Amino acid sequence: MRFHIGATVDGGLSFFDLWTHNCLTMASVETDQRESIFALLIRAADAHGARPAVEFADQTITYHDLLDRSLRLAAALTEAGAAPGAFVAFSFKKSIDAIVAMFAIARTGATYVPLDPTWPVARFQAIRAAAPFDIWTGTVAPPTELGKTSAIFATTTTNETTRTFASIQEIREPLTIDIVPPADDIANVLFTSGSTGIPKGVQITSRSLLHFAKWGVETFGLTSEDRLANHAPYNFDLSTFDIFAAVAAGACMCPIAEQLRMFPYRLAQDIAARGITTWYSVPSALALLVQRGKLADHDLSKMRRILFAGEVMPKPLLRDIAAALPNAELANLYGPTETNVCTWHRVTARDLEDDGPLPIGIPIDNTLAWLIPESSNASDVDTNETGELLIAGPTVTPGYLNDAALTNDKLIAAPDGDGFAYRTGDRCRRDEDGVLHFLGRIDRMIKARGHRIEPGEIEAALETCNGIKEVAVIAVADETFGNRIKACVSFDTNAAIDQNDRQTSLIQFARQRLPSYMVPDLWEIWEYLPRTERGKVDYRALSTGAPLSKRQQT
Amino acid sequence: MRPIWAAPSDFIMSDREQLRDYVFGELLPLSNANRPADDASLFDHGLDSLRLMQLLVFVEEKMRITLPDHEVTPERVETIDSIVGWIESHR
Repeated sequence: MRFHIGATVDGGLSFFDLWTHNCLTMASVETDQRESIFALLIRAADAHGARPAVEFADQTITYHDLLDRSLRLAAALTEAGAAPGAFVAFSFKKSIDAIVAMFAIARTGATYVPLDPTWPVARFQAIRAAAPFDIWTGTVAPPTELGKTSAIFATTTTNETTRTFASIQEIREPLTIDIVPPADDIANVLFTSGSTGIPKGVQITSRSLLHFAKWGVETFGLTSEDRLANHAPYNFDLSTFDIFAAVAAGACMCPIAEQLRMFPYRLAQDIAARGITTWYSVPSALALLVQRGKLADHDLSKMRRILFAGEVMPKPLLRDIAAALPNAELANLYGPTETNVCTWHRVTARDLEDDGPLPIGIPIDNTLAWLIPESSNASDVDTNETGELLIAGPTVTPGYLNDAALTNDKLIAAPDGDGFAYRTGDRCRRDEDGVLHFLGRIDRMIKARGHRIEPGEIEAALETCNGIKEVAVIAVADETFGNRIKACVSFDTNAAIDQNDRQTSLIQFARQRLPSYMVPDLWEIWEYLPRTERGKVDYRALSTGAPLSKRQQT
Repeated sequence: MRPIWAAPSDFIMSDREQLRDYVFGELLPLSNANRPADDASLFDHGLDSLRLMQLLVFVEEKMRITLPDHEVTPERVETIDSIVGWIESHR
């Protein structure tokens, strides 16, 4: 443990307070900044060329084939204009082609922009406005409403302007020219919920992905014998472990078909049949597996590691997982999209016994964590005092795409004076052993099924619906899914429309504008929303309903 | 003050009616005019893992049918028709 002397920053503008704080650092991983994520694939193909790289739907490709296919696609992409600084849309269902395209785009030096194929076209459009891609790669061609792109590469095609991946493998020679990406090049942009109603693009550097992959391989001892499930969608940072750590180890990637996620018993069969050794997902996915997958019916003895992140792991579920998979080590990984994984905690026997919440642990290699006081009047934060978690390290984003104001608000000068640190918005405390504990959010952000959701984004979308007077979105605790989203709405009084019809049309409206994980699960129509004395929406009253029922009676 | 809208209370309905009512009234809300036929794929109307689990809980708790986990397959839950058939096989 090292002690640093630094200063907090007031509003991101000026240093105001000298203070000391302990930061954990374990300098063992040195990431070469000039290395690209494509170099991981070259090395894997050198060392493990004949071993399986991706196995999906009864098809397997070796590392040698993955390298060859990516280079051929990279040649076609380069010709279409993919180059450092350019954006390429990446809209795939789980598939071998998705992995080929991801590495091909990396080879061109361009930035891939994951677009979940299930998202409504309105979200594609909002993202395209921020990250103006002109090349599309995906399972299918883009929806026509998205407008023209200069080149389309898809797995399946229904028109002649789209080139299929299969045809490219036949006609293209592998790309051989050298492309030197800039030192801090952006490998991808992950769009997450934005409180103002517009999704925000978190820029992820190649350096971040390389550091995370290397840390993952070393920490969990991954080898070329391992088989890593890929459960999380590509727009979710969890998937970067399943892909880049696997390639860094020369291990086999085993994508989980989307539909299988809904069928826990089938999923457990699949995990057993494919001999998966390493699993990384949100806790709610594990909850479904444990509650509905009948794990005792399946031979899961090959499972060595269960890693989870994205939301709080409930202790009863943790115990169930430990009991069902006694051969597996369990680890809690923590980090918002902006930092990828930045702290972690290996589950101990004591964790399984006590009832306290699972810690988020200690920083990963080369990463520093501080707890700064939430109120600028307070002094520094002592052991067991609460503060906002601040993170600096190689996995931290350089900022949001085209949003300097938000970047300046969230990335502040690091307390040790060395570069920038990301303000997580998470309230934490550090215990006597230096272990971090997550206590809650400073703002209204909701975590549901691992997705982070800004209630303000849902509210902003719903407010544009005709006839809506007020909207407020809150979380409702759910045993399996962590949280469910509840929308409380009121309508204009003079519109003579049936309440039920209004509600259903409002839900349709939401579906056309929001990804399905942001469409509220529960809806309530109120005559008018309860307000505090200062006129703000009274969120507490919305979740209980009690204060206003009383007021109505008087 | 309470929410002025709430799900309709249960009364005697057939399995199919009860299921349609729940699926299109609450789980995947659609106005009467937009409700698809009983052989339409629910996956195309937003059935996902969370909603599927809610559906199973509804069938088990409200309709009092125990559905074995290993029988939860895409073929059985894809349409209202297939779910009704599945429920009937356990009546």
